[in-house]
Amino acid sequence: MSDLDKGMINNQPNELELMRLLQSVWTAKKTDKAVEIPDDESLLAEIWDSLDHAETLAEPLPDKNFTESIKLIVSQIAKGFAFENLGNLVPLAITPFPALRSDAKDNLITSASFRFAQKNLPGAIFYLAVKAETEGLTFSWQVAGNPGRVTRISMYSGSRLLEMQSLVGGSADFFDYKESGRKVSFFAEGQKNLKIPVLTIEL
Amino acid sequence: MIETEFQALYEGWSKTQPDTPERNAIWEKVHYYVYSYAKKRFKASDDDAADFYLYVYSRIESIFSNYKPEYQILFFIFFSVKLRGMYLNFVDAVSRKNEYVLFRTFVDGEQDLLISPLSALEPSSHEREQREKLYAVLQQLPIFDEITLRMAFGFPLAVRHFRMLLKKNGASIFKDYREYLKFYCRKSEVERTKRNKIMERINMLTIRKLRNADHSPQDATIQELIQQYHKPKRVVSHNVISRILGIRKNSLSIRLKKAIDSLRKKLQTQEV
Repeated sequence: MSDLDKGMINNQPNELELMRLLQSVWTAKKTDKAVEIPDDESLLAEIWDSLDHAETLAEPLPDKNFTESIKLIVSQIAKGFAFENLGNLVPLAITPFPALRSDAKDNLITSASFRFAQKNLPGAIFYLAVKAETEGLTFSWQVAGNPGRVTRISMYSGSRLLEMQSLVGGSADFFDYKESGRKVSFFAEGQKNLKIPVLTIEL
Repeated sequence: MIETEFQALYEGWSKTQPDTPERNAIWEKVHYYVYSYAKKRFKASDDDAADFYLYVYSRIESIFSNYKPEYQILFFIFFSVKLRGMYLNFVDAVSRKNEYVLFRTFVDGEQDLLISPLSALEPSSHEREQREKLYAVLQQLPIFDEITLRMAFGFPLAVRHFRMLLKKNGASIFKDYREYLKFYCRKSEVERTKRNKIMERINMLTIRKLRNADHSPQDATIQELIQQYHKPKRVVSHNVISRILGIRKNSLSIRLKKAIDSLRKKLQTQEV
């Protein structure tokens, strides 16, 4: 194993062997070909378990619903930032297992709300409530944890400004008609030419 | 085919530059695979799934860059083994194995081989009590009798049983036994639903009888339903079991009869 690249086999001397055996079993599962498995119970159990994981990964992708799409986008923005609640807020909280909550469950896809941080705006927490109406989507934004810096939210389609709302009243509400395939981007804006992209959603 | 799709994702990745629309299109697909995988593994909790997804998020790029085609491992296999490693690390760190059964617990050879740690092979508490008693006695039987009865009663096989069948039947046992488990889970769920419906009907008739305070002809129906409720149903066909055991269906009947006789004797001895 010593000649193997680091990274390909990460500190696990049996990983390559496991991959090879799993590949044989994966292929044999379809072709009914014989495969040699070493007489080792832990390895056998590991192949069994790995096969289960491979099968999970191989399952057809479900259709993305409204909540999941946004949750996935928000997850990608939020990365290592997490905030338990306002009481525990620290300017730049980073946890190894960030929690990201959405109040909508599967199939209840008419509305969902998210809270997240944006790495370019440390300290600010964005609250986004999205609601699906018959003709389009409403986006309701609030920003906390960073008073005074972010004062407006703007909505763009490509480089075209569609709408800008002030956060002075507490929340900035947008409505966008559903147009399949259209991307809208939201920016947080404020003093000293502050303009940070917050979220891009493909409708 | 999933293998081809993953291979294409890797090739697309290796030919594109970071932060280009082409590379982003690949990421979108890969991320959705990881996100869906997380959702399926953490069936009970959407939030756990999101946490796991974020845990993997920053490591996805390294899976791609560490892959070496010259080792002749399919990228799909490579990716799934790496993803599983992350899952085990994540689960280990988060729950300290309380909720999930990890492979490390298999090594004693007694751990059951299930399709998924969270799969529904859960009997009711009364059934569990009976099954536990039976389970203990089963282990005292000769190994092949034990395997035969486990399959007939729907107990999952332990690693040592599986290894024995693997030696006897070859790699097809992976496919056959996994199909058996899936079939068993599905079928027992259907049976459970049927029995629940019978119980609902028994309850409804009993309440009606009590309300009317009559000596209605419903008595006979209730008795019939109770019998139906307790009547044991064969969940897995003998064809499936005989294929896994690598014996003929006729031999299975004889073997089952012999194994049940031994089991009965053991149970009687214990009761005495």
